[in-house]
Amino acid sequence: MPKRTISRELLNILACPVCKKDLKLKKNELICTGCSNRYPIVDGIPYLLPPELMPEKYRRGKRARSRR
Amino acid sequence: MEKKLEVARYYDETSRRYERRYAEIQNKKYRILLAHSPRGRKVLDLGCGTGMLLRRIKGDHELVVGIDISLGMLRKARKEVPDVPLILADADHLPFGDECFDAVFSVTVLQNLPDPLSALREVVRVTKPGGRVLVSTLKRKHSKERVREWVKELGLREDEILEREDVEDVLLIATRTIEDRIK
Repeated sequence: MPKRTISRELLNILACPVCKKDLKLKKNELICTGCSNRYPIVDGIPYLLPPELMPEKYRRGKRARSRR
Repeated sequence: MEKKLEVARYYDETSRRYERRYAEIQNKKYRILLAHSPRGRKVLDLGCGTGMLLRRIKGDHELVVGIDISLGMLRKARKEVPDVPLILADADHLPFGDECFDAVFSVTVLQNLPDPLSALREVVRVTKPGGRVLVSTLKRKHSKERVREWVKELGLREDEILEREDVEDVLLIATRTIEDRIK
């Protein structure tokens, strides 16, 4: 499955689901410029969920990894 | 939260047969709502499921984005619309800045949410003033009157609330007004 990158146009409108501040793209993660929450991009799909709904392995504090 | 995870699990499991089962009835709702969709630049489909609506609208706008709480649904959608950005997200915590979209669709989704009004507040937040809110919910869960209460509560302009014999949903066509920007 090809990896997708996030277009600039999309990145411009994305925001942290928790604090709504801008996100920056760093490798395979989106990182909140406000609260520093990290959101993984897995198989091209950003997981932009609040911590309580995030799958265990991607919870806050843990570095996001690509799913194998 | 438990309810949300339950909904995600249910749709993860049904994603394979969802389209075959619901394509016809969903398409009828899309036709009604699409007649009111602006030729806007940016459009969101909240609860995009397997991407049936995304497939219909992706060529009509500058940017179309699909979000869903079910990864199973999104994986199916990716095969259907590989060129549309898809995001795993929750309706109560939309991962977008304020006033981003010219139109937000959410078809047959609200009935699954623990707090539909909270999700609609998020929908209004991410819709541009003058932008369209095009949503539906199952009649057996929410009445036309209830939908009208939401519209009032949110300060939206009601363009139309449709309840048709041949459709299982109440359909809302509304516009975000300039005034509710300051609320």
